[in-house]
Amino acid sequence: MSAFIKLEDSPMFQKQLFSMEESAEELKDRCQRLYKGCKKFTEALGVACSGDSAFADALEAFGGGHDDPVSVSIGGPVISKFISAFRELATYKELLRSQVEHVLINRLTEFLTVDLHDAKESRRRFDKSIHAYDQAREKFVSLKKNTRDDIVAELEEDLQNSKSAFEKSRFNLVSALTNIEAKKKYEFLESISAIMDVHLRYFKLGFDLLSKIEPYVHQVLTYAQQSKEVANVEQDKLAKRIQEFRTQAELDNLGVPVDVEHSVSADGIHVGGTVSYKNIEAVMRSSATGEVQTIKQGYLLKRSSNLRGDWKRRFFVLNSQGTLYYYRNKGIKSMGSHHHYAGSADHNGGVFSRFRSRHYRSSSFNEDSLNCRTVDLRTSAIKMDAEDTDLRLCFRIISPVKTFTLQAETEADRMDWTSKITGVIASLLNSDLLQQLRPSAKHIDGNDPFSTRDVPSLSSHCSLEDEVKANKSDSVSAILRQIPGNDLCAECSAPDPDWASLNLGILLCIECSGVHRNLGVHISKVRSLTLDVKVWESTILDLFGSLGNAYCNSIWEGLLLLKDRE
Amino acid sequence: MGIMFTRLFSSLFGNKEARILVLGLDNAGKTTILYRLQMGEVVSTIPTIGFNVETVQYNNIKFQVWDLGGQTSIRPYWRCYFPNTQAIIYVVDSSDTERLVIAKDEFHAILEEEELRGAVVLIFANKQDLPGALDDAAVTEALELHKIKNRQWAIFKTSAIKGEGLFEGLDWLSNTLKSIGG
Repeated sequence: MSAFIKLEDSPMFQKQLFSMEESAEELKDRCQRLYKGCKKFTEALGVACSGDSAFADALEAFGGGHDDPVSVSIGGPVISKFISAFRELATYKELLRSQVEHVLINRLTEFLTVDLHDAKESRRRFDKSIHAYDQAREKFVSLKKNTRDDIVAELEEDLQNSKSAFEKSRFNLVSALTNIEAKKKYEFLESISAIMDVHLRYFKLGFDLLSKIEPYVHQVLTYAQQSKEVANVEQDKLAKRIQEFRTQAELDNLGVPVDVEHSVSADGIHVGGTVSYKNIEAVMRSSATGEVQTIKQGYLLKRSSNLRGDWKRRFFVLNSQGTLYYYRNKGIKSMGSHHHYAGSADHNGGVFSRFRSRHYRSSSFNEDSLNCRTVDLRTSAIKMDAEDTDLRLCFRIISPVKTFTLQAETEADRMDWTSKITGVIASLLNSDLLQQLRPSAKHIDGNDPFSTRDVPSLSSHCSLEDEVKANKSDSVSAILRQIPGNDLCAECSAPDPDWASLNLGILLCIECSGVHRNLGVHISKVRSLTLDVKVWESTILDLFGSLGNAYCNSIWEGLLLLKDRE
Repeated sequence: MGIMFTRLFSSLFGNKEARILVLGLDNAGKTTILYRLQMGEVVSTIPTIGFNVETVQYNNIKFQVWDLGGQTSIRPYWRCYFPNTQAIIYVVDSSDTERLVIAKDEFHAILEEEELRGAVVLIFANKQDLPGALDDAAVTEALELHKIKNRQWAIFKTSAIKGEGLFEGLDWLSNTLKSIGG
């Protein structure tokens, strides 16, 4: 399909024209198909672009932003960063789409509507001019010899005119077709490579953007991995704790003492023995200045103090400040503060405020909202039964002004509660512990508007004088226990004896002190290291220093020891 | 319903119930006396940390007897139990002559208490079974009971171990409480 070698009209020329027109026609066909494909492509790009935006919007709604606590908990700030990246990517896609439209579709349209149309139009005009030229020529050649000169001249002129019109349209068609032929060589390559270039830029932009945030993405992934590990560890821990809790609960159930009856005997107050009491005192002592620990907590049935005496399940907490309190309601519904309650001065207000412990205020912050009631243990005792009922598993906390009747769910639980509360009561009465706990209590007494009115003024008794003595009693135990043999009860070798026989100069456990008391004061004068504060004068301490359990037993039990050796 | 009615009934018209405090120095025999009265037998005791409370039915009176620990650091808490008390049983170890002075001081301090102004006082000169125990006259002297004004009181020689003198004292107490219409 080289250019026309000869420009004069000839059958070869006509044929060449015809074949060019045919190829233009085919090209048009292909162009139209390409056009359709391009349309589909740009439409798809548009959909993808709006899809990106929709995705970004959905992410935003899911957890974007720095303020919403839920968003922050699932990674809001990180997600926000990614959302903006996705939005950026969407704009790149939009750019790609508009470029494709511009460099491909628009140019294709122009080629179809202008260039190809032009060739078609030129052919139409060329056909017309051939016809006109043929007519003119026919007329001219059919003239007779006798025709007038002027007519001949007129027709000749017509012929000349139509011939030049024919020539003109012939060349028009030629140029239109060569134009197409020429464009065929560069038009499509140009626009398609432009498309490739546009794509290159599209991916380059995306790559730049993503590689910029790549370290951040890895960071986030690492963080997520770590969080996952931490969460796994915590879940394992929780599972372990649940397992331990359940095992413990089962052990507790198994550990129900068989011999329950003895604890209901006359000295019911001494249930649980002295060992747990020592432990409790140690806990209370250690937390006297620091954090409040929970000694025991759990649900108990409590008989209400009204006439119906129905049972309600309440959550009780015994803490290391010696405070026993319970939550009145399940859940966290607040029923108004204690101030409001006591201030209403009805039949309840005065009564309940009496039970506020001296340490109440310091531990009241979270309890206030849970609406709990505090039981004053200092002047209370435990009894292992209930009045007017033969229900099992009951116990009572009796104080001079009020009795709480409670029921545990298992015997083990009842024993645990009663021994722990008993231990706390005993510890509270220990003067040196009292001394440690007091600073906060003093503060409360000064500020609590109800304590002065409702609580029998204990504070006046616990005066400064008391504190000095209390301080002394702490050192009394320390001094006396250092004497040889005094780390164990002189009679039964129980550890940490805190009773003493004044005249014998020995230390005893509480059980053996009871036996010594029964002997009468002419044989043994029993005092407590912690509860008797006036006797521990320096002369007495000196006497104990020169005696002591080891020495005294070598005298009083000398024969016994000899026998043992033999 | 039954329990509820009983409670209501007894709170309105029920048996007379008297609130009694058993006080005294440590190792005077308060807990032994309480359980001797309640169960009629001698139990082995250990020092009372806090208190014991039992109900003793005697002569149609229900005595709610509170036995309070006697150690020096517990004594300040006695006053928490004073309100609404009809009677004090003050127990003295008659053989512990060295500490009778302290027993006397504590005793008179209690009588000073405004909240106990209406309470009758029963003194048990306890541990009469032990050698060297002072008799009731000597204890009366030592405790300076003649100084008691505007109050009904009585002293009995008792031995909680042997069970002697306790119910005589309770007889006096129930008669006295009935006579003052408490």
